[in-house]
Amino acid sequence: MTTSATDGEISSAIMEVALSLDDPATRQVFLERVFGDKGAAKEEMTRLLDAADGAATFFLEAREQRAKVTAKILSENHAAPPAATARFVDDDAVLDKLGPYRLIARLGEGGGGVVYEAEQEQPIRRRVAVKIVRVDLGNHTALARFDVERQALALMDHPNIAKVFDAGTTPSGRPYFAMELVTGEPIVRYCNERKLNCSERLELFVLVCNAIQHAHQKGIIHRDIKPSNILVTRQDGANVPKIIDFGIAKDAGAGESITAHDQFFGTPAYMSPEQVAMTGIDVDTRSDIFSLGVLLYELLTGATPIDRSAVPDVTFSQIRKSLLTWETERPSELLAKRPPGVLATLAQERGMETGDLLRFVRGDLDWIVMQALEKNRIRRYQTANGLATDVRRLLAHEPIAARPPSRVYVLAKFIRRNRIACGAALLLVILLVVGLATTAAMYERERKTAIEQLRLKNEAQAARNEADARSKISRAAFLLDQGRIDEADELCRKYPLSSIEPSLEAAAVFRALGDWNSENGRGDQAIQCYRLLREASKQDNPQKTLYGDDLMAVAAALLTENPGEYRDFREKVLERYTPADGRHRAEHLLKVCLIAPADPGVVAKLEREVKTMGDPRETPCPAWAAFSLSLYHLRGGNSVESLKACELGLASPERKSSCEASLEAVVALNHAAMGKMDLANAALQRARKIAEICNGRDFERGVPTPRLYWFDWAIAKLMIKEASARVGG
Amino acid sequence: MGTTTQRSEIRADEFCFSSAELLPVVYDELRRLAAFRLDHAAANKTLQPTALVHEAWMRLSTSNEKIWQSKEHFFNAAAQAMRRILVDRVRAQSRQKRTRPVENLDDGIFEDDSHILLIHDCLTKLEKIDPYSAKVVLLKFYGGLGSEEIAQVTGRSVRSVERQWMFAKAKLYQLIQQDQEREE
Repeated sequence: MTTSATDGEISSAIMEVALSLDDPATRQVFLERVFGDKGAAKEEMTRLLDAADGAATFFLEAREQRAKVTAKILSENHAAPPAATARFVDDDAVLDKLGPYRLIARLGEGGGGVVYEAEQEQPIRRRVAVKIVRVDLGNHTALARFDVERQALALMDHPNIAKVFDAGTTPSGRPYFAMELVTGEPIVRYCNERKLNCSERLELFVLVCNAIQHAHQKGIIHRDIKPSNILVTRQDGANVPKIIDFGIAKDAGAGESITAHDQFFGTPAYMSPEQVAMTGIDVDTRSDIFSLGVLLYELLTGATPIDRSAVPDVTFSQIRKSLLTWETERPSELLAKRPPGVLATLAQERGMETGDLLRFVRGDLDWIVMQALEKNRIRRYQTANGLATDVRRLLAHEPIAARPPSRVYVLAKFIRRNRIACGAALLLVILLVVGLATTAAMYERERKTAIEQLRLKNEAQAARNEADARSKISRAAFLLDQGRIDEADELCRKYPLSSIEPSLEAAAVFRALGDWNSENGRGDQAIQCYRLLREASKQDNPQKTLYGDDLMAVAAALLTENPGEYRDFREKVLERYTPADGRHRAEHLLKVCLIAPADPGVVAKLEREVKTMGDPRETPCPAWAAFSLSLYHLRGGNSVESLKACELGLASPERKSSCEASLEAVVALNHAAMGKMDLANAALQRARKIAEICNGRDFERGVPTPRLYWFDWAIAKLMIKEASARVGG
Repeated sequence: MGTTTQRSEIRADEFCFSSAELLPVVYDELRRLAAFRLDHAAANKTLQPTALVHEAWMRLSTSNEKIWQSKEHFFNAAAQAMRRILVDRVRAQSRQKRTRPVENLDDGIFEDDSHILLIHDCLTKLEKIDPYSAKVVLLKFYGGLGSEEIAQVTGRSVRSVERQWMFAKAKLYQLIQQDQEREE
């Protein structure tokens, strides 16, 4: 069986699009739509996609072997060192004048060309930098594309990006640029020499992010963000960064193809995993976000996440491997591990005490850096703006988005995420349309591929519609938060929840909407949201989900609306989330699974969680932990132990009113189990009284809690309901 | 192209061409193409195996008097020659390895270069089931050509070549995996 050329074209086109979809679920949906009921073909494509990563590694190693063997053969044949290849000879080396520019000095070489300092005489006299690009003159496609790119570069107009004034060609036909001549120190050196403290560094970093955002909005990816490409000067008492060396040269350089998937551009330590993965994924603006993350890491800790100086002479396939597999240490962890002497130097370079440095970095800043450095680009900050916003919020002591899901962080997060989902889908459509136009125009025999591409474009359009619906619903959630209920309802009517595929990005929307509906007594609406949230959470790391409150919210919603569905949910939770990793997570899991009566099998499965949780008094929320423990013993039939746990919780000074009511209800259930109905009744009355007085609000040490969690009272109500049924009256 | 009868032999007449006319044009091209950057880490020691190409040319031109059908034809042949030189060299090296005393093995010269052989074996298979993919692998890996050159030579768009290269790599890798599973 021989694959025809057209079949091959189509298969490879499908593969390319599938690889460009990062989210596994989306990729799966795409394949289902493309292949329909052709299961075998879909299987084959899935296997091929699975092989892409291994293939990239394999061929990279093979290239290195080829280089080695070639070198051996050459050395054995006593080949003279080969002369420079004819077309790359620097035939403009003797130039001293280019158009209106008089070349003064050679500043350096790199990034695909030679850079000169030059003086412009007409129409104004000024010093500029002239970069002559190394490009193969025989390669007309490269030259044509180069022309397009330089127009794009000219579009950028930002105070923190080196301006491109002019472009032209040398007498021998090579393109050159005249650019703003930037003097200044590379950002890391500048910060260290001037002893900028962490806040000042972050402020500078925000300026860099803003400039990158500007470029991204113009459709330009930098691809090589690193300290030496960000030069800082002091102007009027302010630190002013300038970003140099944008995209083009690397693309057009060396006569290689712009998107050559097997070519490395960039500096390994700052490159994103997808830049080095070479599985055929197109690098997008999110790659720059990763590089910004590395830069931030270095500004804070003085080192990059992968320290190449530790292993000076490694092959590229090794670097690639470590980039793809390494576990990043949090900046604060790295700092804490440094020998005291090194740490003291780092602190000194930041004009800070070592303790202050550690405290500054630990916590929110760790989260921000780690989110920028997420290996999977769909989990990263989606824009430079998003990253900058979080840094600014941190500086202003406001909550940031880069936290595990929890109520406080939700709103900002889903709005940003969904704005991007929309943009990304649009980008995909544009890419496909452009690709379609070029291929169709160039080759008749690709016509069939083009038709296929059109179909793929429609698929992408469907994805875009979905993203659009999602962003509308985000908007609705936002309106709800602002109290603009009518507007929100209107939007929700137009875009039903069911039009959104459950995905990680959608999770925040579902969560926010579910919470809002629950808080406002729309239980039937809330449950729909939580069902979708449950689906969406399946795509996240289980332990990460467990860290947030999503499971508790889902459990409470289900129990309130549809207890039968809860039991199914509980089974799945036990299967997926045990064993919990850490006290807090174990506590959460116990509460989620034992809030409703449970048979001995369920209780037995949670024995390990009780051990993991340990003494409630040593957990972050002692009263709720005591409640979880009391539930465990209550469900296990051990009333004595359960009452002890309740006492522990009721003695905890920072117990919330909702927690207190829940504990009293458990006390009532225990007494009832031991036949002491008077005591049971008294406890139940206390629980009811607390709920009545609070009337939906929550208190801690007599003061209203700053943030109300609707499911805290949902838990209390469920417990009171159970106790009422048991005690009677 | 590339119809082979035996697993690891390259058909002889793939190399039997010559043309005084086409030679100067393409030779210059070949020299340039051979100057591929080996890897980023060693960016400043770019290796230009001009001699390799020269050797390839010697093999090609001394075989007999056939005429080049096209530029594509020539590049195919050159890549096949490179393939043969590389494969021969690695085979010789592994034979030497087998006959050398064990204690001398750690001098770093005789490391495992088996990828080149694995690609060679499975490329022969791929040529039968998906000739176009196979051609891209041949020109890319053994010929050292970039996507743009392959596009020029084969008359396809660069985008199409790159797509095919990504596809072909995965396919070839699958064949290699299957082979290795069978051996285990």
